[in-house]
Amino acid sequence: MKYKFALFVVLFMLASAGSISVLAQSGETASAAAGYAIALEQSRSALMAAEAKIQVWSTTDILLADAEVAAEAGDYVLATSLAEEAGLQVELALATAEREKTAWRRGVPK
Amino acid sequence: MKKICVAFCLLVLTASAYASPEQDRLALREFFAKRFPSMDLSAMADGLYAFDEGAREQWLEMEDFPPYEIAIDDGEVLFNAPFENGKGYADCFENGGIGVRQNFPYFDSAAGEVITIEYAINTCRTNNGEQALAWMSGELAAISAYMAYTSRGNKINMVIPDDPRALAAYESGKEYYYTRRGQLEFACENCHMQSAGNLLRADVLSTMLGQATHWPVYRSKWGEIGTLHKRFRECNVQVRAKPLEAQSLQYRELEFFLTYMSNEMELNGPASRR
Repeated sequence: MKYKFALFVVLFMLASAGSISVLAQSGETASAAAGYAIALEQSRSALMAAEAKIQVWSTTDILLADAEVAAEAGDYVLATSLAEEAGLQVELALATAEREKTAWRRGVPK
Repeated sequence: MKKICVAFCLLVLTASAYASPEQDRLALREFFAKRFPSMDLSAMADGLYAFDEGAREQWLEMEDFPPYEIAIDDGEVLFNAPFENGKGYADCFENGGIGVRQNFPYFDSAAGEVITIEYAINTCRTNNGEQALAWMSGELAAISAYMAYTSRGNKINMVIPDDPRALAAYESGKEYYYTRRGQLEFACENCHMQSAGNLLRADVLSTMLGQATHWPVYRSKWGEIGTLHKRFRECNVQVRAKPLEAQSLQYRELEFFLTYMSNEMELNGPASRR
């Protein structure tokens, strides 16, 4: 009887530990997915501003498409990293747009 | 009184800061005349073949049986094929569409936008109940090639009307040409003015002057005849900038500016390039 009780306790502890681990994992996934969603939204919003200025790099859409593929596969770490890289590219493109607002005239022959 | 004086001074300063299209064109010709003092400016209509003697020799040999010849023949057949309503392209263009390439692009004051030859061809189709053709190659490029062929030797005769919208379209095209963009941060000007005549890998870069005289072009790289906007897109991609749609307003305005810079040069399209 004692043996059966001990076995039950051990099995219960193992099951609880597993559940906690699964719960923790699903919490991490949800957090990573939320992080990705924020990064994607920020990049897309900035991209719209760059589109309006006709200053988008050809590489940015590819990064965003790759990010979506990674997110669909559940790899939110990679997806976030790609979305952030796209956002950085947009930031640089917007910096070019800002500078070129007046600088483009430097090449015009006088 | 003081306010009036300030306003007048600002007006004078603004006017002197922005050159007219004709001043731009003359300044560009002077730029290339200084850059290549021994070269006849009209030779620049041949692009890289104006610079690379070896390549020019091969190109001239190719001109005996040019790769764009099939497109001209196809284009002639397509041009003369009536639409379902019995009308045809000849009904849409001045002089029946023969020898009119030099008048394109132009600013249509009624529509308030730049009209390129390819845009006019497709507008002619849709106005007559036909489907628009694909912009960059195929049948549209062939019709354009035929129309260019009938205009060979004519001088580009672009007129910018006295309409602030036309001048704005010109300025928009000019700004696009000189603006750096893409991951490589290159403007059209960086290759076709600063580095014109220099080697980029195995190819000599052509000059901005004469860039609009010879379209559409059969490019060996493409293996087909393609329009100027196809080349615009390719240039954008080469500097890792997201290309625009062919015949988008911005590209049409770019063509408007670019063609004006070659005003009074002879048309020599269609042509072949590497």
